Amino acid sequence: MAVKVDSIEEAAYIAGQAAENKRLKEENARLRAIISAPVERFGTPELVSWANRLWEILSEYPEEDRGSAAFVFTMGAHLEKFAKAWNSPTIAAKDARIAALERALRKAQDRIYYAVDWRHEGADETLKQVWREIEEALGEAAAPEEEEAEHVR
Amino acid sequence: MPRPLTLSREVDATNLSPEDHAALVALAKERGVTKAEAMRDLVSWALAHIKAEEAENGRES
Repeated sequence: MAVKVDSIEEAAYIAGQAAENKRLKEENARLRAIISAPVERFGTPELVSWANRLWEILSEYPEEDRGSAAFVFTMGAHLEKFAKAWNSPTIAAKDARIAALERALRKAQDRIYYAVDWRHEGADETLKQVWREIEEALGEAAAPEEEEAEHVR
Repeated sequence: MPRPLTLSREVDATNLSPEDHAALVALAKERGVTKAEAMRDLVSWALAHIKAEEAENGRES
C-alpha cells in the first residue's frame, strides 16, 4: 500500500497542514485542560460558568486581536469578576475550612500510618478516635452556613 | 516541473531524489520549520494515509 501524489510540493504542503492542525488540536486540548483543572477540583457552577466564559472570550479574539482595547477591557472585566469573587468573605471562609480540613486529614493520616506501622497497643482505639476526628472535621466543613451567619452578625 | 511520486511505508530521506530534497527544503523554509521536521511531517502524513486506506480496505473485504 502506498500514497500516490502529483508532486513532493503538494504532499509536503498537505503534510505540513495536517501537522499544524494536529499541533493546534493538541494546544487546544492543553489549554482546555488548564482551564478545566480548577473546575474539576472545586466544581462550583459559578466557577464552571466563569471558565466557560473565559474560553469564549479567547475564542472570540484571535491572537492578533488580543492587543486591542476591546479584548483588554473584556478580559480585564472578566478577570476582575474572578478576583472579586475569590476575595469575597464567603470564599475566604470556604478556603479557611478547606485548609482546616486538610490539616485535620494530614494529622489523621500520620496517626493512621503510625498505628498501622507499629501495631502498638490500642491501635484500634487510635483508629476509631482518628475516624471520629475526620467525621467531625467533615461535619464542620459541610455545615458552614451557621458559622457564616454568626460571622456576619 | 512537478514530478509525481509514490510514498510507501518505507519513505524517508534516503529514498527521495535530489530534486525532492530541494523542494522539501524550500517548503520547510516557507513554513518556518527545519527540513527534518518537514520530513517527519511528510512521513507521518503518508503513514496515516496508508493506515487509513488499509483500514478502509479491511472494512470493505
